[in-house]
Amino acid sequence: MSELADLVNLVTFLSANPGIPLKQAATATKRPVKKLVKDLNRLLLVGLPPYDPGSYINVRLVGPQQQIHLQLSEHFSRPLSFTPQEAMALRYALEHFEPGADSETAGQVGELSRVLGEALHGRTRELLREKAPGFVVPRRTDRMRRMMSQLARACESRTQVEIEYYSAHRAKLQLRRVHPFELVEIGAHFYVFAFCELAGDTRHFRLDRVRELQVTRHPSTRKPPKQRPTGRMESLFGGRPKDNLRVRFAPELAQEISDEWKGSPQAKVQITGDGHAVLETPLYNQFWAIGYIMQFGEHAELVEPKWLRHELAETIKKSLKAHSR
Amino acid sequence: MPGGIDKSERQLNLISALLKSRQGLVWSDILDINGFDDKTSEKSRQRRLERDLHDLAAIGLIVERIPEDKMRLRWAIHRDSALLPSLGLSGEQRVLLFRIGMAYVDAPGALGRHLSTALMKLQAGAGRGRLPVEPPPDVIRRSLERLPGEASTLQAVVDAFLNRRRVTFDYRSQNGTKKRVVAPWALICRRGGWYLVGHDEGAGAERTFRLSRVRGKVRVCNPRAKGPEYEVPADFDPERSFSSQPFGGGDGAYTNVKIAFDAEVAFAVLNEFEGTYKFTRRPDGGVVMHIPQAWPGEVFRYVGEFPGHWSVQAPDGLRQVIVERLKGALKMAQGAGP
Repeated sequence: MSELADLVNLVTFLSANPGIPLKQAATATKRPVKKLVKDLNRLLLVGLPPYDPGSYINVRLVGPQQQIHLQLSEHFSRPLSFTPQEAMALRYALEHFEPGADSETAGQVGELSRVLGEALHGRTRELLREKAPGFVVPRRTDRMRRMMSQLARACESRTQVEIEYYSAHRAKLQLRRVHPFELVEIGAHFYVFAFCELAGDTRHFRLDRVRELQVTRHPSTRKPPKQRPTGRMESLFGGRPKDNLRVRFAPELAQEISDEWKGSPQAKVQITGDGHAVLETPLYNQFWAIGYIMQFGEHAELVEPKWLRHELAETIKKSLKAHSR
Repeated sequence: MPGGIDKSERQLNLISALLKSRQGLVWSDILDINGFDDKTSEKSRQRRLERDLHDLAAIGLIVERIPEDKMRLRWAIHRDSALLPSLGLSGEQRVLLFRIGMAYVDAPGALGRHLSTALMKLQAGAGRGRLPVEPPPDVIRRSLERLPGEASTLQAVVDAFLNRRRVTFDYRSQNGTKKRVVAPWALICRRGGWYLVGHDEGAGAERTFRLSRVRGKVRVCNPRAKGPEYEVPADFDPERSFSSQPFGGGDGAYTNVKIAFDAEVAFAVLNEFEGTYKFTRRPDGGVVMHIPQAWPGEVFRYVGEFPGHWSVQAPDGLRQVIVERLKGALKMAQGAGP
């Protein structure tokens, strides 16, 4: 965005929100307080002919919260129309959001797109009314969307929730009482980020691994940590590594493996002189590793850790037995 | 710095005067504006005005040139197209739109950036007290990112897509790596990654590209282009050339696939696919999922999450492929190298 657009958006925002505290305005307009103060000083140089002292925009910071009051900026009270890019960003956000929303919200999203398309003019109107979707994402099941809606409300009202959760680490179902903070999409899955009383710490719980969910009547007293730990598929690739995983792939898979793992934190893929790919990554979860390796059949060999080879073989035997019935 | 103030402040003064004046401004009014009232030649001031009007147009402020008489022009902002109209949203809709925007506002690149300014405008346009200054808590964070290795490619493609710019990149396919020039039409997400569907200039046709197979950087073909370079065809259907079905589809895929899951993991499968696929419940609490079409690789990618808790029941061909692959995996686990 240009500096000019940034300043025009700022002055319209402040005109529409008289008395907004400095810190809040900085957050809402996505700039540090120092930059906001600098921009406010620039607005002092904006005015109308004849540019006498009474015809410049006046900025006053009032009270201990430094509430911002603008004077002589009434002609900026209506914001600029959305740019085509802003209209499309809104459209694509709605489009991407809808398949994961509960049915009531999904209906409202459809109505929102229609109302926006009718209200706007020119190019932005054309773009919002285009029929072909820009982002195609799988629709979540009704059950998942209901859970997301319940959890979003619990996060907002700061209420404790009981979940029956299948832990991939422990490979078993357990009842947990959690204090949910937010719902996060990581990779292809949704997670609820929460404080877990069983673990005594924050955890990411994958929503499709929740068998039952009960929103309690107990308010949550836990405050969300300032920073949410991030990482690829937190529940599978987090915590303390158990060992190092090393897998060797046949040359026909080498490029696919390299593509899939490039950019993954802590993972390394090396193509050897004979065309094999060797993946090295910390091993956080042996159940994930077993499922991952067995899908490649005779094209992948678990090199390390040695102790996992026996477990892998036993799991494959179990799968083969299931196929012999 | 003409007139002692910088370009943005001069342009803000111009916008201020144009917005204040209902009828528009004539040349003598322009010369009264702080920043235009310097001692440079008339021609130079006129050129400066044209450059400024060009910059205003770039942020969506179209200034009309209305002939005043044979010799003179009047400049006026076209308010209907330049200013955000009343969107006619109910209070509930405004908050919902704001929440959805907030769910993506941290997205890297153009999507997050444009959403951020759109939300500022939305809040300013709502009028005093219509949208809470303290926005509702953003408890949902959505993300477009799937595979870490795709992140920078995805960002570059989304940026180009929002601006309707053609992109060029090196793409690895079975026939080797080739440079492609593509007009992005849509992005399709299927288990594990994003696929770009667009018009491939080299092929002269619609093509699909898996983002993780893009080599190196994605670049816009014409960085100096000012406006959109293409339109998405009105009759375009993204799923015409690439299925977003989780297990794939099309020629060569196995049909009428049945996979059984035992009771321990059945709920997780139902969480993900109930309503999408047909399920048969078994007396022991397990389920059988019926999938119209599937590729073995996509099946393995999913069932791999439930080691030991599944079996492919049908069709025989797929069952055989899966069994062979399991036997191969067992051989490897017992010591043979790939």
